[in-house]
Amino acid sequence: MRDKGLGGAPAEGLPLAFAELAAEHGDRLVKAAWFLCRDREEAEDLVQETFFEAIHAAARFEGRSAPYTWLYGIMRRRFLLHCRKKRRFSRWLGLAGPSLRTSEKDESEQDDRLDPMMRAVFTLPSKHREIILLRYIEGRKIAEIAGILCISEGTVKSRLHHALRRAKTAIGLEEEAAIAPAAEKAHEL
Amino acid sequence: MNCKKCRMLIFEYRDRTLSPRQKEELDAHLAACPRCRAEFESEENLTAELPASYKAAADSLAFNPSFVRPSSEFSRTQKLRPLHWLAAGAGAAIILAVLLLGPFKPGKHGAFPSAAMEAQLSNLRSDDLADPFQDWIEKRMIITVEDKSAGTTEKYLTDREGTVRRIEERGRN
Repeated sequence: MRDKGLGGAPAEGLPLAFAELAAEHGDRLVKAAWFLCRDREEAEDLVQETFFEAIHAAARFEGRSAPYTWLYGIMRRRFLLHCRKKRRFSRWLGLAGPSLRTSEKDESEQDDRLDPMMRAVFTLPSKHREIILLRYIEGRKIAEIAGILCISEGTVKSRLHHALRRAKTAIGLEEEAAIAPAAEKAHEL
Repeated sequence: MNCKKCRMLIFEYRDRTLSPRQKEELDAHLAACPRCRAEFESEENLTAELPASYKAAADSLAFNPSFVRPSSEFSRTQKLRPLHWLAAGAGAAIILAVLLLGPFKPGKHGAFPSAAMEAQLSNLRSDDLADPFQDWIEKRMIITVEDKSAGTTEKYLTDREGTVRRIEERGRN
């Protein structure tokens, strides 16, 4: 990954460095955001907000990490903020009644387009999904993950261990669920 | 090496950050312990299969950089930010001043707008003054009564008891 600076913002239009960053890391960031929030539109919103914030905070970027890692950190904070807002909102919706909540059917229809492994991983809590993203999809080392999440290496390992165990169980359940209808069909024939 | 330590070292084994001795110990434990070996293999499977699965699922996702607003808009909002604070402060100060020192003091018949009342009285003759506004008068104030047709101006001083006393007269021959 190239490690470029962020200086030299021209007076008009998007700063050149940011245009390059958006072109270079935008897709990767939106995919990571989708993995975290499990919603395409929300992922796009998150990444837009990330770039807005990055433009504001460009002066504070010291170049100690790669630009993607910096952008990911901003996106992660925005995601946590969204989660907090959602929790607060859902509490109100809970008071208002079940009709206003997102229907479970819609969510399952969205999940049908995924393969069993992704479906299984999507059943994990965001804390575990994030660590799986950083470790198995982005291929980061334990020390790097600890730096990004601001936790100790021991915590990263223990969280990974739990995530792995839950993922294994979820994948097993998904495989069973996939095998069961096929076995039923075979039995009927 | 026990299983707990082994499971924590599995991740470092992949990162290749283990010392040769630790690696040897881990290899020996994995060869002897089927449960730890299963854990190791499941990590291996996830490493091998998940990226492809993720790529297939997230392939259609793309970010449109044109969504990001031009920097000039940001610089404008950044410039305006101190002004926003200034405006908010001024607004708060005005509200506070009105509440503490404002002309609208609640009396027994409601608010008493002295400046507005003075304007209303400017066309009245002195004889009409006392009755309609007597009930309103609760504090000392000066009322100016201007008679444009006669070209005269009179000033009256009121007090808490409601009595009105002429204190100045101009333009009358």
